[in-house]
Amino acid sequence: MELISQLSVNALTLGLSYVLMALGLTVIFSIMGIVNFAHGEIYMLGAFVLYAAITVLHLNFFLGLLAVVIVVGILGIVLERFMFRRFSGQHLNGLVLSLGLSILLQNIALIIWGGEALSVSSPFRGHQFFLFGVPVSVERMFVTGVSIIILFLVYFFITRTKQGHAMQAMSQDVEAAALQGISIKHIGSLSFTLGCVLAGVAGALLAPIFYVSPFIGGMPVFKAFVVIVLGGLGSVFGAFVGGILLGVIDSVSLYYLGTMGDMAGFLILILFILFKPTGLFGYE
Amino acid sequence: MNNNNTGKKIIFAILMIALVFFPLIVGDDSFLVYISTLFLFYFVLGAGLNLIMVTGQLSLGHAAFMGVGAYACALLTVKLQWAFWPSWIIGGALAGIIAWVLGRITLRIKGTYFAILTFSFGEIVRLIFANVPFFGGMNGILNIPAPSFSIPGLFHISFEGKIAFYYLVLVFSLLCFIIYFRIKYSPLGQVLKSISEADFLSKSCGIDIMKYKLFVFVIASIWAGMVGGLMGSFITFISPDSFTVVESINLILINVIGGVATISGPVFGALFLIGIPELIRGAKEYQMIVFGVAIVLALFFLPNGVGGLFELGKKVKVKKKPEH
Repeated sequence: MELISQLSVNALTLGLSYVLMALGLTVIFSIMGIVNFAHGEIYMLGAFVLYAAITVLHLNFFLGLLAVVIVVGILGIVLERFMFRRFSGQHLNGLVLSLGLSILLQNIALIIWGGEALSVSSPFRGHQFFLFGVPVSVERMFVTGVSIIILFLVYFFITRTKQGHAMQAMSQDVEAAALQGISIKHIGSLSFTLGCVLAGVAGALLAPIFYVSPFIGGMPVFKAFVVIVLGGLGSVFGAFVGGILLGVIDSVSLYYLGTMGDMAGFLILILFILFKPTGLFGYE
Repeated sequence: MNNNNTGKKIIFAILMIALVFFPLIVGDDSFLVYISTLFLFYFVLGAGLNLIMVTGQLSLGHAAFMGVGAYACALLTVKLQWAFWPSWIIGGALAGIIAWVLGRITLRIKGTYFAILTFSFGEIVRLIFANVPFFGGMNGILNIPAPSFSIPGLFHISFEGKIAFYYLVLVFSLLCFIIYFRIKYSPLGQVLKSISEADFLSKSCGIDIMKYKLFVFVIASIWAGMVGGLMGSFITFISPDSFTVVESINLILINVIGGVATISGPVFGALFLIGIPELIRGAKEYQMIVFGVAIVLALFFLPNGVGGLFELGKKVKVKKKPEH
C-alpha cells in the first residue's frame, strides 16, 4: 500500500512535468511544423535561471519563478524571430537547426555554470503531510498543483480566447488562416514563446526535486516526444493523458528495472509510430 | 560540370599522393597520423549517412550501427580470441542485417517521425550496451588487440603501429569512397535524389523507392559497423559512451557543413569535425559551441554546405521560404 501510493505520487509529479514539456513541444510543432530538439535546453535554462535568481540575485523562490517566465519568454521571442521563423514549415532543416541550437545552449550553460550538479532550495524542503496515513512531500504537491493550474490556463487560453482560436486555425491550415486575416508571424511568435515558457517553468518547478546541470535537458525532451506520440500530435487532451500515462509507466519501470527503465518509453515510442501514428487521441 | 573535370582530377591526384606518402615523412609517433586516421573514419561514416540523407531520411541513430559493429568485433576478438578479420566482417554484417530488418519496418516513415524513431533505436541499443553485464556495462570492453595478417612461412604484418594502421584504414576508406562515388555519380544517384525531392512522382515513374532507400540504409550501416570495428581496435577500448546520440549528431554535422547534395561534402565535413578541435585545442570547452554555431550558420548561409561552393559554382542561391 505504502509502495503503491508512493509510486503514484511520484507518477503524478513526473507525469505532469512531462505534460508541460509535451504541451510546449506540440504547440510549436502544430503551428510551425518544427520538432524543437532544443526544447530540453529551454527546460534546462529554466532551472538555471531559477538557480541564478535565488543564489545570485537573492530573490525568493516565487519571484525566481516569475524571473524564469520573463527570461525564458524573451529567449523564446528572440529564438523565434531570428532563428526558427526562417525555417517554419521546413521539417528537416528546422530539426537540424534545433539540434545545432541545442548543442549551443547546452555548452553555453556548461561554460557559465560548470558541469557539476547544483541543487536549488525551495521553501518546501523537508516538509510533508499525511494523506490517508501515507507521507506526501509538500514539495511534490506544490509542483503538482502549479502544473495543474498552468494546464488549465493553457487549455482556457487555447479554447476560449481569440488568440487561442487563431492558433487552432493556424495549426489546421496556415494559408486558410492567413486569408482570414490572422497574423501568421504574430501567432507563430506567440506559440513559440508559449512553448518555451512551458518548458522553462517545467524545468524550474522540477529543479528543487532533482538537481540542476547543463545535461538535464536531454531526457525530458524525449519523454515529451513519447507523450506526444502516445497522446496524438496536436491534441492537448492527448498530451495530458499521455503525460500521466508515461509518468505511471516510468515510475513503475524505474522502480523495478533501474536505468533500464528508460527503455520502456522508447519502446512505446517505436511501437506507436509504427502501428498507431495518430496516437490515442490524435486525428489524421 | 564537365569542363573543369581535369582540374578536379588533378586535385584528387594530389590529395591521394599526399594521403599515401605523408606518414612516411612525418614518422610513426606523429599526432598527424593519428588525426588523419580519425579523419578517414569520419569520412566513411559521413559518406554513409550522406547516402541516407540524400534520400531525404534523417537518421539520428547511425552511431548505434557503429556500436553494433564495434561490440561484435571486440567481443569476438577479446572474449573468444578470434582473429580480427572474421570478427570485423561479422561485425559489419551484423550491423547490415540489423539495418535491413530495421529499414524494412521503418523506412516507409518519413521526416520527423523517422528521426525520432531512429533516435529511439539508438538509445535502446546504447541502454542495452550500458546495462547488460555481457557487454561490460559502463566500462565497456578494454584491451582490444590490433589486427595482424600473416601467411605462415611467407610474411607477417602487424597493424600495431600507427602508420600500419593508417594504411589499413586508408585502403578501407578508399574502397568505400569508390563505392560512394559510383553510387552518387551515376543514374542511381539521380534516383536517390529524386526520392527526396518528389517521392510520389518517382514512385509513379515505376521506381521502387523502398528498395533504393533500403539499399543505401544497409550499405551505410555496414560501413558504420566496419568503422566501429576498426575504431575499437585503433583506440583499444570501447564503451557505451562512444555511441551516443552526440556521435550521431556529429555525423549529421559532417553532412550539414559539407553539404548533402554534393560529392565532396563528407570530405569537408569530416575535415571540419576533426580539424576544429585541433585548431582550438587551447579552448576545448568552446569546441561544441563552434559546432553549434557552425550548424546554425551553415543552415542560414550555406544550404549546400562547403562542398556546394566548389561543386555547384554559381548555381548556389539561397532559396527563400515562400511567404505565407
